[in-house]
Amino acid sequence: MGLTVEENMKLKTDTVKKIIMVVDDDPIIRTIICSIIKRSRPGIDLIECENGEEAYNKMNEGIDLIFTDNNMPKVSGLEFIRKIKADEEYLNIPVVMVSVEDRDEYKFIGKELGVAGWVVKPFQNNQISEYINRFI
Amino acid sequence: MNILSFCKNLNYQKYIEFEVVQVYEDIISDINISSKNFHAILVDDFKTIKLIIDNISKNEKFSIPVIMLLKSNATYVDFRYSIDSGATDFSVEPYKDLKEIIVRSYMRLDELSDSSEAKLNQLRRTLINSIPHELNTPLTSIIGLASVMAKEDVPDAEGYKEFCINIYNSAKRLQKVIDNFTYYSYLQLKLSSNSDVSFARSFTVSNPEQVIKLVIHDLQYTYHREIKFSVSAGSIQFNATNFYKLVYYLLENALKFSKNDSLVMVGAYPLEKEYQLVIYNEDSGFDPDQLNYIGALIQFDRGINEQQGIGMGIAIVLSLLKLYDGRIKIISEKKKFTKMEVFLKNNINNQVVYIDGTNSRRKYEIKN
Repeated sequence: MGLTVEENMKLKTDTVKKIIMVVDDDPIIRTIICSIIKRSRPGIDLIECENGEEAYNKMNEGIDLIFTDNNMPKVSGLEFIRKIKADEEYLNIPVVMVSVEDRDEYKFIGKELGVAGWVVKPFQNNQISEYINRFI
Repeated sequence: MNILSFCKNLNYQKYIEFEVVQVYEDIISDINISSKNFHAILVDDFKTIKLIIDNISKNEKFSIPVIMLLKSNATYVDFRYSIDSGATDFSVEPYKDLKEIIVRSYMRLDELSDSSEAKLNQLRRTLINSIPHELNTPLTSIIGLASVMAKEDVPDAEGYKEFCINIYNSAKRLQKVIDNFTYYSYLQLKLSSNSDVSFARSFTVSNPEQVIKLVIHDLQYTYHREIKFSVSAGSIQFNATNFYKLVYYLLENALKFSKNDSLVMVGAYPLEKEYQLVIYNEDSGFDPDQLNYIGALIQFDRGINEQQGIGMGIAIVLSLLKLYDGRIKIISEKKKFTKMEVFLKNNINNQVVYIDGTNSRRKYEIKN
C-alpha cells in the first residue's frame, strides 16, 4: 500500500537537507554555535561566514535558518538583515541575532527589520537549540 | 523639498541670527566648515551628514548643531541613524518643530563649547558603548566552550586540546581588556588632579634605553618577530613602569598591524630638550582621515561597519603623554608604512627611577 499525500509531503520535508548559516567574525563563537547545532541536529549542513557581506553572497545556497552577530567588519548583522529582508527571495528566512548588544533601541531596530529572535551573549546552549527546534 | 528655499521662507532672523549657505556635497571635505561660523547646519541625507560630521570633527569644533531633516515616512531606524551618524537632533517633515530644535541644539552645544570637554564626552560615550562588547565577547567564548566540553561534544583528544587553548586565549583576552580599562581609568583619575600631574612629572627615568630594550625583548618573545633597534642613552620626565607601558603599546601596535615578515624598527635619541622615540613599521598605515581621528581622540567612534577593537591602547598612550607633557607625531601612508615619533621632556630630578638590567630585570627602585 502506497503512502498518503500527507505522508509523502512529510517524507519529502524530512529528507530535504536543511542548512543553517552561522555568521560571526569570531571563529570561536562560530565553533560554539556550530557545536550546539550539530548536537541538536546531527548531520545538518552548516555554512559559516565571517561577516554580513560574505553571508549575503552565500544566500543562494538554500538557507533555512540564520544565526548572526551584529558587530562585524564590512557589513554588520543589522545591515545584512536589512539587505535580505529587502529581497523577496530571502524575506521569509528566519534570522536570529546573537549579539552582546542588549540595548532596547537595537532590539527595537531588529524587530522592525523582522528579526525572528534575539540571543544576548554570553548565551546558554538551550537558547540556541530552542530556535533550532522552532524553525527547523 | 529644497532645504535652501525652505529655510529662506522661514524668517529665522527674528528668532536667532541665521545665515543660509548652500554647500555642495562634492566640496564638503575640502572646506573648513568650522571657519564658516554657521549657526546651524541642516542636512537631508545620511551620506552628506557623515561628511559634514567628519569635517567638523577634523576641525575639532563641536559647537555647530547639525540637524537631520527626515521625510514624513521616516521610521525609528532613521531616527537612530540620524543620531548614530552624529546629528545633534532631527526633525520630521513638515518640520514644524525645527525652530525649537535649532535653538535647543544650539544651547546644548554651547554648554559643550570647550572642545576638550566635547572630546572627553565622545571618549566616555564610546568607551561606555564598547566596554560591554569587549568584555562579553571573550566571556561568551569561555562560557560557550566550557559548556560544550561539559556536554561531551568534543570529538577527540585533539579537539579537546583545541578547546582548552581557545578557553585559555579567551581568558587572556578578557584579562587584557580588564587590565587596560583599569589602567586607563587610573590615568584619567591622575589627569583630573593637578597635584597628581605635578607629582607624576617630578619623576625621572634615567635609563630609558634600558626600558626600551626590555620592551623589545619581551615583544620579540611574544610575537616571534625580529625587531631592529638603535637606542641611545637619555633621561626623561617619566615613571619607569608607565614608560614601559607607553613603549609596549606603541610597539605592540606596530607588530599587530603589520605582516609577520615586514620590517619593524625602533630608534631612540636624545635631543636638546627632549628625548625622541621613533617606532616604524612597514605595511598597514593610516589614511589622512584616520590620522585625524587619532589626533582628535575620536578613533573610538565605532561606525556600524567598523568593529575592530576598542582602541584602548592608543587612548592609554595619549593619556600617558598628556600626564608627562609629551607629544606624538604620526607620519603614515596607507598600506605602506607608519612612523610614530614620540617626544618626551628631559628632566633631571633628585628622584631617580631606574631598572636594574642585570640581576632583576623587572625590579623598579626609587633613589632619594
